[in-house]
Amino acid sequence: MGKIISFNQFVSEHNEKYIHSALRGILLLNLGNIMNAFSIAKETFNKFDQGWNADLINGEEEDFYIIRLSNEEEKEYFFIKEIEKDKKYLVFTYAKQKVLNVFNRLLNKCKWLWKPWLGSRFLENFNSFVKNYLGHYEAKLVEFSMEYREIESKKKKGSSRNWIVRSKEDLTLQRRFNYENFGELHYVKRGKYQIFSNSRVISNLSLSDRGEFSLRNTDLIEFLNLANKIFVYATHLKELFSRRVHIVSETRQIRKDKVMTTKFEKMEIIRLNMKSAFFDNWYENLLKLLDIGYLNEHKIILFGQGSDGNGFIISEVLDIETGNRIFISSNENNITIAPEMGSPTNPETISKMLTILQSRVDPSITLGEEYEIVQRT
Amino acid sequence: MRSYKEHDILVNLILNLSLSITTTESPVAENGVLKKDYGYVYEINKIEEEFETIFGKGFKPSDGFLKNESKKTSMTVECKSYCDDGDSRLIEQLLFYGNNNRFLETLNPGNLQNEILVVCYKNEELVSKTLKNIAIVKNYPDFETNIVLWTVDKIPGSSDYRIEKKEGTHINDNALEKKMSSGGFVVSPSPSLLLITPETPENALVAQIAKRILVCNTASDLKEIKIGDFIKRQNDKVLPDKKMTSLIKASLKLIPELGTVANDKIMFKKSLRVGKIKDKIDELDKCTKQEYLNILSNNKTLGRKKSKKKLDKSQKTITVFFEDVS
Repeated sequence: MGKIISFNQFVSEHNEKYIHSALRGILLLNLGNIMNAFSIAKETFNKFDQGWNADLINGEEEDFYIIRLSNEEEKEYFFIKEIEKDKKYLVFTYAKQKVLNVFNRLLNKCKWLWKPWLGSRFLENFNSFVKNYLGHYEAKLVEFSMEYREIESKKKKGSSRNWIVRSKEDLTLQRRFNYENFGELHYVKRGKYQIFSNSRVISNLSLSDRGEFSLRNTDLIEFLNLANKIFVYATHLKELFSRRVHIVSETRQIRKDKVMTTKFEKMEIIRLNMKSAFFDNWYENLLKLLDIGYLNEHKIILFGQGSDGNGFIISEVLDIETGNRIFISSNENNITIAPEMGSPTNPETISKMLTILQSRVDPSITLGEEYEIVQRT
Repeated sequence: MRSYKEHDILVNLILNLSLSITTTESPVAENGVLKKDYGYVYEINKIEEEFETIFGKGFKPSDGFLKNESKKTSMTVECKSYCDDGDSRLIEQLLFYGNNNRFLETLNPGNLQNEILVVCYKNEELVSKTLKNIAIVKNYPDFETNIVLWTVDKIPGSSDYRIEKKEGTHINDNALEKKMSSGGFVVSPSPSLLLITPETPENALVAQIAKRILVCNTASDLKEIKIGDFIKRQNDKVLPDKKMTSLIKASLKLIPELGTVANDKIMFKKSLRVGKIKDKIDELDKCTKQEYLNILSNNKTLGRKKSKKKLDKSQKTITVFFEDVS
């Protein structure tokens, strides 16, 4: 690693020496201190992850950390910059994808640490996002890689394919063609962009819908500016994902006896409007999803309940990774996600559920009015 | 897929009328018109152990209460998806809600004027039977409580329901009376919340408890939890603690993959066989009352055990066969 111990040194070294190399990274959101989360996770990781060891090193500044992953043959470093205290982090690395996957395994062992959900609509409209927030830059969509699944074969693993797309409309046509001919549903996993300034390419960026990025020819200070804007957007989505039922309980003394009553004050829900759904048979796709019951890759269990012929279904969803319980209901016009009594919905569970709905029910599913949300900040 | 009970739909619709629902799309309450425009708040009584001592064992509360503090009125809600001529249960319920002073005192502090709201589907047979029962109750001497009947009807070609008034007058609330006499409300069903209700059959309750034990296990790093602490976490319980404890014990007995009970503690299983647990919960949810009783009385766990074929000693493996031949 040499002597990189401060973030400023890391940035200047990158901009001077390594600007043409591929710099990978992850945007992270957290609900607590990242070092505490890592130090708890690393014990299990070091014990079970086949020869890999994780070490935590403090950088020169308080908000800069380094994680060293090593085994007998290799040693790789991950540089972590705290953007907002105990909330937002950026991870950079020059490590190959293979070692990044090992780092992801360490990340998965950290409780309350998650990659933000950006959604495929965000990636499709990334050029307008850049135009809105970095007025002097323009982004051009170069390529999408997508994960696809055939609806019928539940056990088949998703595989990815890359398409070169000229516009959003191309993407739409390609999706419809594949759905109608092969019964495949798609969702955008990663978008590759060229960032222009004064008609000159100044950066190549790829971004996934879960906040993983890869940079080449990019000034890190410029990137930090863009990453900050993406963080603002992702944090707003996270706040929207956290929904709760407001309950007021009161205990009254009636003569010698005590009685408790409960009032439901308010229920916060997410309502996905399906009037402009991409596929006419999205409702049947939803019923098929509920019939599957257990999605091992997402650690989600669905307990479906249908009503007799009234066109209304409800499903209780258990996320056995986070221990969260939510309700999904649907009629012909919308899909509703509601929290359980008493505890707020976990943002990770909602983002998982939205990804599942996008990939298995209808690719158009989104929270809607995303850019309005951003502008409110 | 277990059927969403007709009674649950009625309770949900009433809850939906009186609950503010805020979405991510609009911060304004979309439903909850009864709360927003008319000031009614839905209240459910949590039956603590003490509550049972007031009204006796096996007491089942009404399906909810709609309270209007500003107009000093309240409605005891009773939803009916099925009813017989001279239905003794409905008659007993209505008499209890109307005449039991202790009940009114407990649930209507401040002497709110109470009326009984019966809600049923707009089905000719059901409506006429319910009306007959209401008429019987009204003829009882000393029965003075006002009774109003609302009907619920699914709007064809849509997932919405129309709620109208069929019988009676809201004597304490002119605005509501006017609204209900001129078309009523149109409501969409809300996501279900009240999954633990006194109306839910025991097998469904045990299945529901099993789901919650599974969630509790995965949500925390706890190896064990006191049964009392687990019960406290269930915000929507309207059952006595003793009943809850017996349901927890039943669910762990029937689905041992979740954990065991020892010294009034739930001891969680470390590794979860999720697929198997899900199948067993589904089986429990779908079974009939008789099947559930059979499972319990035969002291069996759920799920069919795959019978392992015993190897017939006279059968020989290929190696042995070749050895013999040689």
